[in-house]
Amino acid sequence: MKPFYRTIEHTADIGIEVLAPTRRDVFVRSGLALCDLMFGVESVGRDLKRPIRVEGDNVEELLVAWLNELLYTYAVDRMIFSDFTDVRLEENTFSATGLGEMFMPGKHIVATEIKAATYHMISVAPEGDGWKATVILDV
Amino acid sequence: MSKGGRRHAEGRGSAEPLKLERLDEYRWMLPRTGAMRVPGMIYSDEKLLQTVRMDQSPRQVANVAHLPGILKYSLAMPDMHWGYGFPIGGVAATDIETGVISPGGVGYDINCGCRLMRTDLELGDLEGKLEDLASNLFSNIPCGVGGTGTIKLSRREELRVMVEGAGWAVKNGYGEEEDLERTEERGAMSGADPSAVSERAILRGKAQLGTLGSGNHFLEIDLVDEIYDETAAMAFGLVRGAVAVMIHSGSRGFGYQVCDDHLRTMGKAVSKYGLNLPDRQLASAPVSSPEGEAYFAAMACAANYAWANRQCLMHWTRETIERTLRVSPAKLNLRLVYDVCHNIAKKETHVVDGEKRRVCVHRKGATRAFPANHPELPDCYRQVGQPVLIPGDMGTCSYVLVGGGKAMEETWGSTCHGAGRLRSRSQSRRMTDSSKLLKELRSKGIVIRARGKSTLAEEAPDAYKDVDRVVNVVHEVGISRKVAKLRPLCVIKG
Repeated sequence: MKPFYRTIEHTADIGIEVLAPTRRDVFVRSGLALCDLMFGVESVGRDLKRPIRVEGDNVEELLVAWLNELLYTYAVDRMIFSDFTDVRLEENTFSATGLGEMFMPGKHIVATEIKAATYHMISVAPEGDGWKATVILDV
Repeated sequence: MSKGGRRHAEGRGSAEPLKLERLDEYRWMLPRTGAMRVPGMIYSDEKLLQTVRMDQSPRQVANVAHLPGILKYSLAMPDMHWGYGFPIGGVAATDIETGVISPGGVGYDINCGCRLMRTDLELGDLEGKLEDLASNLFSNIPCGVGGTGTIKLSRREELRVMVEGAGWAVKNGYGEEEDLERTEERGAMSGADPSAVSERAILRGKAQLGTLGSGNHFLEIDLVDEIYDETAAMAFGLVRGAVAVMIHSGSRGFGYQVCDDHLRTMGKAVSKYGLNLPDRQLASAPVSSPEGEAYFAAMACAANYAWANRQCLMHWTRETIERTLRVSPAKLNLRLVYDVCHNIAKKETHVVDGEKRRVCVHRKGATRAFPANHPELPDCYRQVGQPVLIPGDMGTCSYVLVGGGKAMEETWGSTCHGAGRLRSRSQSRRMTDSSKLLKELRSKGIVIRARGKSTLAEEAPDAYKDVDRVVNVVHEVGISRKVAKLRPLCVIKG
């Protein structure tokens, strides 16, 4: 288990709980948690940059859209990430620059195929002095 | 933006504990409470239900009962377990004119399903060759996470796959015309309209046709171990002691993207049509609304993609077996028994209160199980009923069933779809020593090829319910009947 997230027991799929000091950071850490479950973030370089922007009607939709955009970028462009900068969370948009590299079989070992981030039990809520996100991932 | 955003109130109503009322040995009713429009009905047995009670799936049965236009019951099959939106093993029919369609009742892997092939081979034909066969299948069948295939589709061809499904594959040399007759919907659902599919889904599907995938997807060489119904088995071409092949795969990234795209649209439709739903993942739209029709048209494209996918996988499997064993196509005589989907929404005709009605049947981890004489069955199975394929786990067995008469009366022509998960993936990883598991399976004569040790541990036999019990429930209730038991000899996992 990585310090920035923990997995939740779910019979068929995988849930993640992510804690962060700010709502913006909870998005970043959720993205990193997703990448970590799939590839292990330590194995991913950061030579390439990719701006990513998603839209949504509310914070939960934005989080689901953000995670699904990362899955899409891997599936179609084969790009994977180890960090995010230039992060902006606004009313109906979330944007960040992904730092990563192209997926290389052999170098990157894919542990889990994640089909999608779902809306089931989705939550982005204050927790203590910070924020917590809960997401169930379809695997 | 509010801190909580728009609330679909996951868990709303969850304050009330759910009470299951036992009706008989295999039926439990979940009475209507709160805003449930119909009661729930769970098919199970006492032991299977013990674990079900510990997860969220009964709550999900209750949540599904909130869908506008749902008819009779929110149903769950004995392999039920906690999913997202619908429970896995959930079945719900909605009225086509007044009801909704929900992508959550289908899932991301649209038309995830199984296909079974029979052969004339016997166990002796594989003696000393099973390891080679496993290795060759593992290298010839593209599998694994994000695996890409050898089929490179042009835009025009991908559009044809969406409409023609398995027919596209057969036309392009991946199989025989007779395979289509033995595929649900002849491998191509009508109503597929590529204009309802996003550019993103098209791009995502482009490189994944003809790939098995990972997780619980597999290719398995089986031995027909037991026959329970000689007549049906004969019609299906299954003989005790013969070798069979099962493939479990779906619509890959194409389907995931279709689901994601349309769930967003449906999220807006929930407000537009004033729907009151207890879980955002159940987002829906009236079946006849523009949003509902667009989803159905795109979902049918993904379903067709999945049928084309399994058709191609079958073709390479056939080629690999012929080459490895050096047998002629005639001696191998590999023929499709049937291909069924278990994640789908279908527009079907059913009798409701004595009248024929068009309904939209959602099967989320549930299999169509039409009985003998159903007009939609192909001639070859009209007299016996539709074959139903129930994969178990990699260490025990799988079943072939046939649709039973009670299915039309009680479950919208549906039955279970597998053993059903018992343990979470992480639990299973923690509790399973992959090397030990491999040795155990080998001692049972089962050869395994898997991309990763974690997949193997996640899919360990102990992670699943007892498939014998699951199948016993549907057999005893009469929604499907046992025909044959298959024992695994060789399992390829992504």
